[in-house]
Amino acid sequence: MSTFYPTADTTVRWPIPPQVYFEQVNEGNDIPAVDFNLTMQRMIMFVGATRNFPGLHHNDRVAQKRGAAPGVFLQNNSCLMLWERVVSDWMGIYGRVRATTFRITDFHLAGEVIHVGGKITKKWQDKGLNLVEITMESKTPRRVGMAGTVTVALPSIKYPTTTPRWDREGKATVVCQ
Amino acid sequence: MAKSEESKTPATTPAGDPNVTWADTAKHVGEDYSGGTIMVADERVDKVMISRYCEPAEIGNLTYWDEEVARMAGYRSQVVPWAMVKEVPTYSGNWRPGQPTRFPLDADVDFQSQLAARQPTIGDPPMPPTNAGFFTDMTIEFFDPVCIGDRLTTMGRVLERVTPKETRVGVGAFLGYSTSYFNQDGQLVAKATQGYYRFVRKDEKDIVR
Repeated sequence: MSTFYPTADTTVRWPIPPQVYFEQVNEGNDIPAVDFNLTMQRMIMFVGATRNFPGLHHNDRVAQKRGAAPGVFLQNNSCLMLWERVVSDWMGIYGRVRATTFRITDFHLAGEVIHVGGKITKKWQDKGLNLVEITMESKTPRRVGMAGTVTVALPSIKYPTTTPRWDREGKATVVCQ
Repeated sequence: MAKSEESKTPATTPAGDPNVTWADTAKHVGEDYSGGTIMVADERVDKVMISRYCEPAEIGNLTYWDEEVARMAGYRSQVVPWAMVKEVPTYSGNWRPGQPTRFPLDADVDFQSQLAARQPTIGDPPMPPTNAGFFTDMTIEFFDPVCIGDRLTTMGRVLERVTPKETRVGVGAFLGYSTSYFNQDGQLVAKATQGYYRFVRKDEKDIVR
C-alpha cells in the first residue's frame, strides 16, 4: 500500500525572500516584470477566485453582446490581481500597499499573454512613512491595457522588521523611519 | 421538483429613460445610491478564501500564505491581499437555504442570473438608455490590514462623477461611485472609487478594435 501526499504540503515552510528597504530603491528603478499567459482554464480560475460570475468573463457570446468585446475578458479585480502579484512579490513581507489607482484601456482576453511591469517614479517620506510610487503598466498584444500607480510603504534599514501602519489621515502609527 | 424551480424568468425592460440626458444625470453627483444600507459580509475571512484568491495569478507573498510569517511581520494572522480587500471578503453569498433558485428552468444558456451585490445599491440615477457597459477605472486607499477572522462591512455608494464620452465601442458616459469598507471593530480598511462606462453599443462594423 502506498500513501498519497498532496503536491502542496501545507506543513512546508517556504523560504522568506530577501526584503526590499526604502534606502535601497531609487526613482527610475524597474521592479521585476511578469508575463501572464491567460489560458481559458486560468480565466475560469480568476472568475472562481474573485466570485465574479457575469458572463462577460466566461461566456464569449455574452462578452460580445453585452461588453462589446471580441470574447471573454478579465474582470477588473482580476486585472488588478496581476499587479498584486508583481508588486507584492517585490515589496516583501514588511512592505504594505498604501493606495492604487488604475484605468483599464483594453480587454485582457483569453489566449493572450499580458506583460506587467512597473517603474519607481517617486520616492518620498510623508507623515512618518517611507513611500514609493510605482508607475505600472499591463500590456496586451495590441496596446497598454491597464495603467496607473501603486503606492507602497516600505520598511527602513533602521527598523528592518517593522511593517508600516497608518491611520485614517495616512499618518504612521508605528515608528518606521 | 422544488416549487422555486418553477418560477419564470422575470420580464426585462430596456434600461434608461429617453427623456433624460447625461447632463441631467450629472445633477445627481454627490448623492448616495446605497439607500443607507450597511452591508455585512456573509462570510468571515478564512485561509481557503485567501489561498484560492492567490492561485490564478500565483501571488507568493508569504504574509498571505504562512501564519507564522504573517505574525512575524506584525499581523494578527494571515493577511488578505490588498487587491482582494474590496472583493471576496465583502461577499454576501449568491444563494442561501430558503431562497428561490437563481437559475429558473426556462432560462436559456446565456441567462444572466441576478447574483449577490458587492455593495449596497438602490440602483442608478436617472440616465439615458444604454445597452452595454463595463468597468473602467478604480482608486483604492488602504488603511487597517484585513486578516483571517475579520468580517467586513460595506457602506455608501456615492455618485462622484458623470462624464459623457464617445469611445471606440459606443456612445455614453463614464460614471464613478465611492464606497468605504470597515472591519468588525468599525476600523476603516479601505475606501474605493470605481468607474464604469455605460453606453449604447456601436454596430460591430463601426467598433475600432
